[in-house]
Amino acid sequence: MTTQTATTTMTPPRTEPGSDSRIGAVLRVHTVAWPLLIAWPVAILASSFLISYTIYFLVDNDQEEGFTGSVFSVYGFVLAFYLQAMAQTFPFTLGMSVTRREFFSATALLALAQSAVFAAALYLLSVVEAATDGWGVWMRMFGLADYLTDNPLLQFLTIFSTLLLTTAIAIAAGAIYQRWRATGLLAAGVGVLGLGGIAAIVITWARWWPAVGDWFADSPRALPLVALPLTGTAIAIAVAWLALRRATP
Amino acid sequence: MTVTAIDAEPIVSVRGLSKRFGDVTALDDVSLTIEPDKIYGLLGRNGAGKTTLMQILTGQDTQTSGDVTVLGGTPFENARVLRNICFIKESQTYVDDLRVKHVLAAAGHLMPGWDREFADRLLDDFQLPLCRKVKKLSRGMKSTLGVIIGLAARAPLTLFDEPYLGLDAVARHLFYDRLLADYAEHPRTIVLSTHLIDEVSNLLEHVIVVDGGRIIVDDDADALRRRAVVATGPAETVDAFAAGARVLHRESLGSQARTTVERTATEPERALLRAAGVELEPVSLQDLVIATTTGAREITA
Repeated sequence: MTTQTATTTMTPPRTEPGSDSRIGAVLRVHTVAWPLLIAWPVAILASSFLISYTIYFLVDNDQEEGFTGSVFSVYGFVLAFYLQAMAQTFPFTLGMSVTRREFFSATALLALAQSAVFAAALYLLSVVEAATDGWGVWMRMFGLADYLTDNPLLQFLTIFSTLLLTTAIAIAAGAIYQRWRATGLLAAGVGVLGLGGIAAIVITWARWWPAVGDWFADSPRALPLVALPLTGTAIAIAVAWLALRRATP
Repeated sequence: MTVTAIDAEPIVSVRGLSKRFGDVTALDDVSLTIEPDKIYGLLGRNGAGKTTLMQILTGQDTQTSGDVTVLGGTPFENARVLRNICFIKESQTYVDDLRVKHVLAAAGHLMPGWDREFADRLLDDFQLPLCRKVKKLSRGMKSTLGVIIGLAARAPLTLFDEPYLGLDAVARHLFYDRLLADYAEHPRTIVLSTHLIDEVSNLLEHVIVVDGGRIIVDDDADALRRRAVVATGPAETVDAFAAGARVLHRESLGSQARTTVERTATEPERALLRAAGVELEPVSLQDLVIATTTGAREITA
């Protein structure tokens, strides 16, 4: 049998040209149950929309636009989705011989695309909302970003960058868990809390709060609304990769 | 034959591999070679280091020291090497919310050699419910899912680590059947790690036994079976036969003894022993593994 099989043996490991990387394959694993990916956020938004709409309709709201806050459910969904991706899809794909680099690249790509699609959808819904006097009942569900700026592009980018930041934090938390388990998460939580606390103490001690407030008020809107979340995203993604590159599920 | 030189090219080559977790040494100066297109048994007790070894071979973990070459490269984070490996482990995580068909579709995307038709046939053989969510699968069904992926992936290097926890005897034998049949048609390197040694002993062509992080047996399965015999009969005659050779196991009852001894018997010897009432049987792989692993334990203790 050895001689007969020797010829098949030495055909070098299969490498179809152009398919060297499995980033595309990992993307397809993320989206293999795509109804889950699309149907859930749509269902969450639709049900909270219907509930809010009914309430606004019943109470005959006709003066101030009331903000429902249910748009934050999208952020919650994104957080849950990427925590699950790190907790389960990562060990699954790694078990299927995917490299950490391939998994990470695919997940980051998905995060970019998903944030862009969700941000576009939310922005378009906010435009419709504004055009229809809050769906005819002065309800404000999607128009979160236009509290902060009138620039349409900035509104879109604000939603996009904050969604991306949420995703990046979920990926970083998941990566820290995969590398150092609960101890790592707790340590990271204490670390972030500690840094925030020290910053608050220093700012208070130096009486910098008015200056901080001025910065947020005076700097170009794009800085706090887009550049700040994107900086946070970059930091979280860097932390995530440092943790994940040697993580063993 | 001209192919022998090529045939000698190993799939896996490990030199001086050690792995420490804190002050626990999981693998201690391990060296081994795995040749293409053979079925290997990786045997040993719980905590012997089998899983750690396979984790390192498949790039899931890194070694503390030593050289590991798999399919011509270091496996860790090496996409070219890893795409030719399929490692099915007992503790494999599947995504809870996915259905069986989703998991199989995902495996199909990730495994270059995936044979969908074969996977469908296996699904039918094992009666795995296609639309059930992973979190609703029983332990045995989860094992079945792993077995199907491992077989249908047709990876040049396939490793099974205790693949059939919770599977009944019928399902296990179905697995052995399908494995052998597919292996005959699509030869590849298979490493099977298991506690059910007697069940798989006919499958294995080569046996590696790990104990306490070291390799204590690395031999052809047939050679291994010829390595020792079990002699049963009058204690004096049995002991005389065993004298000078390494005794792996001995039990006696009154004047009768049953001894596993690491030696062979020539044909005249066999005739003499038979005349003296001593029966010789080939040793089972399981007995041999038990004898060698407990023996090694006494030496290190």
